[in-house]
Amino acid sequence: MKQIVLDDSTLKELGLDKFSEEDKDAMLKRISQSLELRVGIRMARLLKEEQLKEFEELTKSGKDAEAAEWLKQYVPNYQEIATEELDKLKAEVKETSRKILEKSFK
Amino acid sequence: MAETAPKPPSENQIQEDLNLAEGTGIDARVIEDKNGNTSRRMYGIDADSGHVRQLKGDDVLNAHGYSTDIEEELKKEQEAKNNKTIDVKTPGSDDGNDKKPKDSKKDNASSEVGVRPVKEGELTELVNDEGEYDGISGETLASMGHEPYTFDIENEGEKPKDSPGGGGNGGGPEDPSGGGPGEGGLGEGGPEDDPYKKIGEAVSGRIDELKEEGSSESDAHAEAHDEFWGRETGEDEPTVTTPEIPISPELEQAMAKLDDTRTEYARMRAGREGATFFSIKFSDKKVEAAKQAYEEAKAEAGSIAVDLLREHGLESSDMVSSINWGSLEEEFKLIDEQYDQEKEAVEGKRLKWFYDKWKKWSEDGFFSKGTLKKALVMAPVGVGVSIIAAPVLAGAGVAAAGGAGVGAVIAKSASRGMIGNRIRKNAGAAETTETKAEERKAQATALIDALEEHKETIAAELESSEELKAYGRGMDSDLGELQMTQTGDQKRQNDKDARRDMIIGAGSALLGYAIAEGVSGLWSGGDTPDVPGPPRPSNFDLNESLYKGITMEPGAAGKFENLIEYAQANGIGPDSAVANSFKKAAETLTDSQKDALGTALGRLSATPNYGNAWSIDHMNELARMASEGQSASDILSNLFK
Repeated sequence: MKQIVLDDSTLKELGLDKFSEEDKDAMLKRISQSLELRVGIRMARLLKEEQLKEFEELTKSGKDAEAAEWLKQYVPNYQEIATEELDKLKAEVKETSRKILEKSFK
Repeated sequence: MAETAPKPPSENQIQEDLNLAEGTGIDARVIEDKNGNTSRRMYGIDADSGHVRQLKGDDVLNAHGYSTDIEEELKKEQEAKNNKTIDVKTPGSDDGNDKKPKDSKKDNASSEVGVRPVKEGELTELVNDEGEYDGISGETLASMGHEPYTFDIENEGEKPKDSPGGGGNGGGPEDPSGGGPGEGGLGEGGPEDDPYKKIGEAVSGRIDELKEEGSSESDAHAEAHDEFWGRETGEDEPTVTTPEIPISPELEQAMAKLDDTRTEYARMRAGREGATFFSIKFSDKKVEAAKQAYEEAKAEAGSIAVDLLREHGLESSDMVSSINWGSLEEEFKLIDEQYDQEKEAVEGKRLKWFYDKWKKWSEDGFFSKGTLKKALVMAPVGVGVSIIAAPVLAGAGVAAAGGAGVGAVIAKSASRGMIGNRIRKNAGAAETTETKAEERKAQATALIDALEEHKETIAAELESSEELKAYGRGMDSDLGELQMTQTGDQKRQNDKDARRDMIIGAGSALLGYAIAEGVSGLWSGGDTPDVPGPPRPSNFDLNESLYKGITMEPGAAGKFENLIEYAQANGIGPDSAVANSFKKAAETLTDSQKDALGTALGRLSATPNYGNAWSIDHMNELARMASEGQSASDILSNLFK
């Protein structure tokens, strides 16, 4: 399984490598959580109401691990989704920075 | 046990109530936990075993004959409020009128503490070994702040030496000299006035609760003590550092607008992207309009914040880092809002519930396992995200910053994590008066420096930015005037800013290109060697090479002035075709070949009437010669054959 790695190089790419270790740790954690939400949004759009009945039954009976496996089965391209969303996040951050920089130095 | 914890007494109250006396006794230590919070713990040496052990509050209270019955204490408090006589119940006493003289209290004191008197320094010696005391190593405990707790735990009926009288707010534990507490205690303002709210059983119960919630033994003790005895630091809870740079009303207004536009854009995105059927309410046009408004608000808030930082002298590279952080936080906020909006918009109970479940999984760390002290793999859905980082703190800074807009985050990040607020002095600026040109030059230098630092993240976008190139061209005339006021020596000084200014100010077709290309071309050197990642970038610095070539020509300084005048008179700016051809031509060259080409170009630029007669063919020919390994001199020799 291909891993998406969030580490110092991620922060460097976003121009965030000059912060303290404490701040960088927190940023990575937040990036991870935001990425999870992004993936969740994409997954939700792919799932149908009627499909989720089985998922609901698994989670309500405490079988979260099985429920997660169910998701992998019904959204087989979740890894690609995660990679796309991370790329999107990075691109959007850079774009925002660029615009602020341009506006600030005019 | 009472349902709520009563307010803990102050140290002075404890001193008073316990009739503390000078003498040996319990050793108090200030303990600092992993989060930097401090609390005081009391230790004594067990009379039987001779080992150190921590004393709980009720041990001490019981030893002095105080009740540790919470219900009884609360009742006393309530009665006091109702102006009723307070009975201070002590073990063995049924007499509710209680200003118990200390002697009788002492008579009823138990020896449940079971510790023997401690000689000064004895505890430190004892704990400084391999042992561990309630989760704290002996070595650590020995190094903690020592505050001898001066009260008598022996039933010896000793009277305190010092009797300040009336209340006994004597030295107390903070006074290492053991300055005497008074003869206070119940005799002077006893519990009926300052009801003793220390609840030994409640403390123990609270410790049990915390342990059930997952706290370790030592953390549970520390937290329970803090709750009942008060935190030593003077703060109730750890707080996020407030920004040192206050948010201006203008920024606040911009942030409010940003919030509104973000919400609207999130709603539109959710409606457009999340809908299963088209709705005119979320047409492309409307979504685009919402996006535009949001983007403008972001840029506005960000630039206002940047102005604030600039006023406070923030270094450019720090400013760029702040901007990047603010941009990141803004993305988090947008997605958070969009997530919630989509959840509201979807139809289907189970789908809505899925949104809730997924978010809860994320918040609970379901996708993460282990700690962040090692590589972390997201599971079980297997998004496959690993976080390789040092231990994570609560993310207090980022979380707090997330509560504000991009502008506030920028301001906050500057005060929290930035390197410093050194004001970068622009070489050559000292000789000039403050003019508009001065400001523009400073801005250009700051911009170039900042972008130089972050070339890997911004260069691609900026290179394609027509706006920035236009800005660069507009600067030429201002800088030209500035350069005219400088002496030749200043121009030639071996200073990066001066060189850049000269090149920017020249205004010739190629040199003016530097400001456009400069945002991505003024790179020199690589990153610090110990930073892992991509290979070190090229050491080629176009401006270095150009300058070198220019100054090789006799009287180059004078020629520069000519060039500036010529450029100003003719409105000459960078020729993008020539500039692009240089870039294209240089792509395949090595650093040394680029240097030869740049130097040759510099020399040519300093040649009267030559600097502005560039063509693409020129460039390609020069580049060809450079690619053959010819030096700058060779190139020029061959060119003028």
